Amino acid sequence: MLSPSALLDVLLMPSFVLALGAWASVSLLLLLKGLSGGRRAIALAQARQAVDHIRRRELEPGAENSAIVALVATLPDSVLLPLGASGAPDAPQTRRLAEAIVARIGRRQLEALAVASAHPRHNARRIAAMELLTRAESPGVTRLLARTVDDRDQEIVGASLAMLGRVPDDIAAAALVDALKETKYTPSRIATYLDRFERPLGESLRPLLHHPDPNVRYWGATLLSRHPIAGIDSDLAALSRDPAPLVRKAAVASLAHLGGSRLEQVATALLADDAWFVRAHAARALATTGDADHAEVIAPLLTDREWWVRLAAKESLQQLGDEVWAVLVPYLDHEDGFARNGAAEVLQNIGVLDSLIVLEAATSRPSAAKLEMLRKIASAGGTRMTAAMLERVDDRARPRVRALLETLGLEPAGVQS
Amino acid sequence: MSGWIEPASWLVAAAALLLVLAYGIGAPFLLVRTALTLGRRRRLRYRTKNDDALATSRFTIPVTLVVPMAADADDASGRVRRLVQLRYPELEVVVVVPDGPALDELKHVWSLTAAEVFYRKSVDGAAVRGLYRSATDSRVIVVHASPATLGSALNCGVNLARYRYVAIAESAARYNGDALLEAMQAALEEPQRVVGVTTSVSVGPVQSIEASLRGEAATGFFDALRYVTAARARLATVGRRRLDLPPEGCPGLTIWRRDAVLDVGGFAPADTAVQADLTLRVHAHYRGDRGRYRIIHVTDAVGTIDAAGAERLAREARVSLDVLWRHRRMMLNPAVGRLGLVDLPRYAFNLLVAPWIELAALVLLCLAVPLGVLTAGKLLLVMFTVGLGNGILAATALLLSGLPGNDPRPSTLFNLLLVGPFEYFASRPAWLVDRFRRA
Repeated sequence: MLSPSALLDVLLMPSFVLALGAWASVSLLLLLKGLSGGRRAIALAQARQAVDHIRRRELEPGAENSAIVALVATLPDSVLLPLGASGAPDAPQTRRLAEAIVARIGRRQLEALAVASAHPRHNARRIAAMELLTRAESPGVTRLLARTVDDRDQEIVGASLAMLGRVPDDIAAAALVDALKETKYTPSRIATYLDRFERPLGESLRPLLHHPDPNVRYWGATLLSRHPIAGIDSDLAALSRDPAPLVRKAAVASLAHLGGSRLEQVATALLADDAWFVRAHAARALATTGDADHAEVIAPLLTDREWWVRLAAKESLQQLGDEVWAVLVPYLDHEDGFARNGAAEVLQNIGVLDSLIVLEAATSRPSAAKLEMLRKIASAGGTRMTAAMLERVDDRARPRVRALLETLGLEPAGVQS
Repeated sequence: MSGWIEPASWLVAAAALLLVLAYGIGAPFLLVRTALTLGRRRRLRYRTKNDDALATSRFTIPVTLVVPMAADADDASGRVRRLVQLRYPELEVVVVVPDGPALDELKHVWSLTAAEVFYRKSVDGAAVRGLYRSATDSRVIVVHASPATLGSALNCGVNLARYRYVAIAESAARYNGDALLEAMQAALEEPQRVVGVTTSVSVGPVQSIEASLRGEAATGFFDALRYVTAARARLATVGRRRLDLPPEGCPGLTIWRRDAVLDVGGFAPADTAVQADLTLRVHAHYRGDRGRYRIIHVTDAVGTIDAAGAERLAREARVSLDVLWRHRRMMLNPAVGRLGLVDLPRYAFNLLVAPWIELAALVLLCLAVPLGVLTAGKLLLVMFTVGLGNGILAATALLLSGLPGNDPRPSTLFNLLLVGPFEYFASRPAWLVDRFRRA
């Protein structure tokens, strides 16, 4: 019969051998990987230091170029790609370094590497090759990137789009717009590159406004605020009646960004939109005009059923400045508690509350009308608002302000005189 | 043999066998599984690093950073400054702090002005005693509150958050400049599905390449031990991967979509494991349907923290029995799919049962020589097997954490690899004690 000891005898040694073998193998793997990766990492760090050293010398462009070419000639092959593809892409020295590396490796070889369909583990090299060619402004690089945008690997697609966004030419613009239309990558990311595109894109973007997909119309309307073209006001005004609420939101937000005559009409109409975020954006759009007359139409949104619309209304009213105070007074007595709070908060933030209280506290005969208004604001804002106000006023004025508040029947707590 | 000796011998043999199989065979198995996972992950790893376009894009989603701070936190203003300086197009920082020196420092340095802000109290949070806005940076809001628990401080911040995503930041951590950008990448790509993102911070990393170029001393044995222990601790969370629980060691920024937090009623009014508790409630809320929601873990550390801060963080993040008890309805519940049927029971087993089994096995092993089950030499062989198994786990953890690479000098690499087999005996007792405390 098998004894416990015999059972262990059978299993112990094979387990030990297995553990020892596995530990030794994985350790050796890590060690080799670490040593080779470490050598490369140190060589790369040293190469970066050498490049920085050349930059710090602030040489003439020609002399700097020669120094960089001489340095690149001495570097080991393994550091060329990561060195050339890292750092700020737009600096002139970066371009000179990239040109030197492209010259050393060879443009054809880099192009072949960039378009080669390979296992994802080679993506870093492919992307570095694309980056180098882009930085060196190599001839035909835009066409190459337009090709790699259609790669099967999303990592390559994303990198291609990012680089296309930095190449200010028509092919790059068309490739980016196509990518947005066909959703080849996350739309917000493509839109980011289009938004920053150095050349005007208005005419390329305009067709997006009529695209059947509402998401594409949304991005078209959003991006046109940065790439305006003649007559865009009318197009955006028409989009403000789009069946998709996201598109209506984008239309009014872009109109606000562009300014122009259609904004007030469109935004005022959208204050009553069914979608809460459209109402919120309409309020914010109206506030961008800086015209305090719009406070009349924005203020009712303090009673909106959606919290975010109320917040937008508060912030928009605040943005319109202290002239809005008269519009807010009726809301201090509103049956809706949030509307009362909101009105009081706006009056606090535009400085009306502080000016009133300090002025009235300083006078021996405060005006009854102003006192009544103070009482209303303080009541609508609650004791914490008056406590905050007491904390804001300077130490000398505080006792008088406190006394005034007490005459109004308001007793802030927790603030030391 | 007398009556009790034979069963006892079998029990001791079983204990030795358990340890040998768990470490001698289980560890290589885990290594193979990890290697396969790494191969798969390579396809999913894409993140545009240093994407300046994104860092300044108006199409990113604004984030509210909620920062609970202790009344006596040192360098309170510096902590807030570092968060405000994170490279992200639109953010606000809501600091929740009780009365004390930290609040006074913030008032002074950030030129805080008392103001009333009306907000919707969507979840139960700490009572607000005062609100302050910074005159120097409008993105900073300081809430004077006396939260009874960490959860109520966080809820207070969530109530005040104006943006769609809320990032819970640890004020003592030093985040990388792009930490928020990196953490938000997944949410930016799929905001309709990504409801949560967890990240981690690292403690006292091994020396860097720059340090080696400067000729500084290589990472020593004890630093290597500390690093390996931290890396190894991550592997001990088997079963939590699909649960998406935040990392136990040093959670970094934990980002939640605000509506998801409100839907589940906010953070639990507790001081520990509030993120894990919220995660489990989010799973229950969406009934484990991954088509509707995703919680992403960003594996790269987004910053560093000192040892004391790390210890506190680890204490706060520990999942205790009462958290699991609160979510017992998810356990073996087919309505939440695999999470309820497999992952949560496995996690509960690892948390509650496994430490006892391991301790029992170790205690029984002490009887192996007196009972004649093992000779002293074979007992040593068992210990070697366990140590080597642990060494494999440590190496696997290093593979997962992307090391070696930080300090690539041979002496550091040797230290990191050699420390693995010893790590079990150096840190396992403390780890077991900790798990008992939780269990």
